Amino acid sequence: MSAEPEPQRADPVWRLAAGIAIMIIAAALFGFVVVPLAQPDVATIGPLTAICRAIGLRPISSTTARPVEPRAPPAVSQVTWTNSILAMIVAGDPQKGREVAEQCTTCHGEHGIVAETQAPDLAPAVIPNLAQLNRAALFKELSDYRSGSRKSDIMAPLAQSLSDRDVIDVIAYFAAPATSERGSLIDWSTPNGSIADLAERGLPGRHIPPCASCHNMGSGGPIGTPALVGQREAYLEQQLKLFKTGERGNDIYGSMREIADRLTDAEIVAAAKYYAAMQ
Amino acid sequence: MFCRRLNGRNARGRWIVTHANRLILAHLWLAFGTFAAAAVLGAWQMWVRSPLPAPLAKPELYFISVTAHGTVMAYVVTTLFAMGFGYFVAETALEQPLRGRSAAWVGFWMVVFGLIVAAVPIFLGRASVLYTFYPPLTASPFYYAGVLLVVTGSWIWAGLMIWAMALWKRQRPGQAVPLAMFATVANAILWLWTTVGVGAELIFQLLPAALGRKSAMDVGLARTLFSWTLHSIVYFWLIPAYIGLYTLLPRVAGGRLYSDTMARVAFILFLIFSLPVGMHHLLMDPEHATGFKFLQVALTAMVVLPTLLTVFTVSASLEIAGRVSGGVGVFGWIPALPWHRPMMLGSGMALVALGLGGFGGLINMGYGMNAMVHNTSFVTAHFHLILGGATLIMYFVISYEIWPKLTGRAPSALGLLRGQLWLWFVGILVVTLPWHVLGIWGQPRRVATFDYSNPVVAAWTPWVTVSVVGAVLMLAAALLLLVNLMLMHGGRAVPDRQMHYAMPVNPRTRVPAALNGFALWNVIVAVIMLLSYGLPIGQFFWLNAPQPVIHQVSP
Repeated sequence: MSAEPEPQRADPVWRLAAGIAIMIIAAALFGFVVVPLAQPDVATIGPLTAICRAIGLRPISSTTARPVEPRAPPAVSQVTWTNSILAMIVAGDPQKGREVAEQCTTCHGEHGIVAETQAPDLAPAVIPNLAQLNRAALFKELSDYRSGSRKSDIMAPLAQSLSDRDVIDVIAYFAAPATSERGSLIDWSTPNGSIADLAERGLPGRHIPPCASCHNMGSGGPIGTPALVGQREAYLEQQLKLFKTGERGNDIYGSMREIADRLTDAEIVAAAKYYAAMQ
Repeated sequence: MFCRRLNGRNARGRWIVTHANRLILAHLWLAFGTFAAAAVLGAWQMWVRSPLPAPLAKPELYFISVTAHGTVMAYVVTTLFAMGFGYFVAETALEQPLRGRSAAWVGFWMVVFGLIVAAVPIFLGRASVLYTFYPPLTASPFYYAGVLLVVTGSWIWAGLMIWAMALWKRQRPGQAVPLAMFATVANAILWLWTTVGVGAELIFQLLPAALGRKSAMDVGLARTLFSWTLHSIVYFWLIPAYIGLYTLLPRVAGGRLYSDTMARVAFILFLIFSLPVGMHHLLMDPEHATGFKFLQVALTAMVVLPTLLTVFTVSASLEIAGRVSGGVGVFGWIPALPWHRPMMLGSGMALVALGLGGFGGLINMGYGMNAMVHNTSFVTAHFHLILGGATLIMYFVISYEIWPKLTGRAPSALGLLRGQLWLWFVGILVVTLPWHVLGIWGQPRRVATFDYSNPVVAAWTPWVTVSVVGAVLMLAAALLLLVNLMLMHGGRAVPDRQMHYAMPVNPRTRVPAALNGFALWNVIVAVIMLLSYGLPIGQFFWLNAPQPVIHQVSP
């Protein structure tokens, strides 16, 4: 055993604890006081606001008031996915929705599946199935028809005649049951071939992302992305072409307009066939 | 109950491990078995990302592979090694049988079961969330349940370690807990603190969402809770490596530990400064105020203290050993060290990898520099050097050191062991050094395939290709590790199965109470965590914050 005396002082421990405390206080002082006060914007916002922002008690925004936007914002979509809207769209009553849906089923079919014999005078091939769409997608499109973000001589007046409550109820009627909405991330049974490559893997060389990255069930695309599987061929083809020409423009950030613009007409036809054939 | 095994002591009254051998070997073998499997996936991932034609080159398979590789390497291998090595230390350093071995087995089987429950959805493609728990990516509830089981199983280990030390101290009032055990308990306590963040995220956010009970979750809160875990988990991986450097290396080098007190202080500081710092993973996130980012980055920087303490103490211990072996002059002690011994060689390699990875970490930690390399391969290079380089090399050499004590068999020759270390070390450098360059050039991480026809991407070709070669070397080393460990179940019998830890230069039987337990330091950790995470987490509940960034799981 060493002859060294046992330590009498508890000093090392308390010095260590005090050192840690001093370091933390110094770091906090710098982060919450010194650095915010050293910023040039203190002159306009005042020291208290600067400190409150550094702590997170006040939101950070530009130091000057934003000028009022004189023009109306571009009508891409008026739908914002707030918590209250998300809570609202799951609260619909399918029974009430069934009554509202009577005016929809004439064209879109009972339960949202278009019967091939139905409404021949309304060019039925381009009427989409509603059955496999999720609530967010139905809500967004219906809301866009109501606000005028998506244009249709038939759908716009119909949608505008609905009350807010009607919208929530009718989408509850058409929406796919919740259980089927989180399907497989990957459709393992997709056939190979160039169009399957485009749909499932994209064409990075032409900056075309795969359709599946957003449109597959549960693939994590933006809220309100419609499912494509089993959608009607003529509708898909028509909508891609409308995106391509810009006649349809309710896609946020213009993502679909940009993708459709990069597709050839032949690819549009093939992609529509591909998804229409998939079950 | 232990009398049939002579209470773990041999005829001369010296401690030999007999009680928990199977338990320890089960943990370590499962760790290294899953490690080798994950190494196969890692090598394939490098191949797929390269311009070389690779089999099964589909992005969805790549993301499945990354998820499996990351989950195994980051959560399973490291946790199992820390558990197995912890049980070993508890028996050999405290020189008494491990209490609660049935509970330990329960913990082990929970990890095994959790691993299976998590692996099935991964390979079915239902959990391609890349092993970090960042919504909006959401996985099958089975994946989250599996990970939660692994974590819960490891909590049993943490509890047993704390209990073992408490019992030992009660029987020997005032005596200093052996350093290896003190550090193991530091790690157990660190692990309990660490898992609170991800545990809360799993239980309150991810699992309810994955089960369809919740239709939306706050992504900002989820990222904040995960950041709580994300840095401290690295120190949970590293502390067993540091235990090797402090308590095994000086003896293998032929010397003594320079200072037992400094080692204790370093482990305490690792515990304190690895926790309240995770927000440096959120520097680019909008949901936190700049002051808290500054505070946590400053606290991150303070990990330099225990790191430099470690470098100093380990170097001083090695210098003592080198001079005892006849080294003279300023640097003459370095070649005098026994570099032919795997522990010596591996520790040197681990310190090189730790140094390189540490410098990369300084860049990731700085707000401005991080902005340039954020989400690029530079980040991947950093944490592969720390985990794959420093940590795993120490795990290898610790295993080479303790395996003969567990099996009673020594390796017939050290050449294969050294060969394995060299293969891995060269491999990890050849993989990660090009990643640093690619990251600075903007190669994103977590991208499955690149369009090498693009001229910008084409310029990466040589570097990406070289790193594939490194991956092959690492894969060879991973497989050779299994061979080496297997050979140590045969081989010649070792005469002495007692585990000897490095003695300090000035052995003390007593140390200040605060350096012999964790009560004070737990209070300090709690206070600092409250300061640095209280408001950043509380704001999601208390403040009338702007509309949170939410993710809708199912409408």
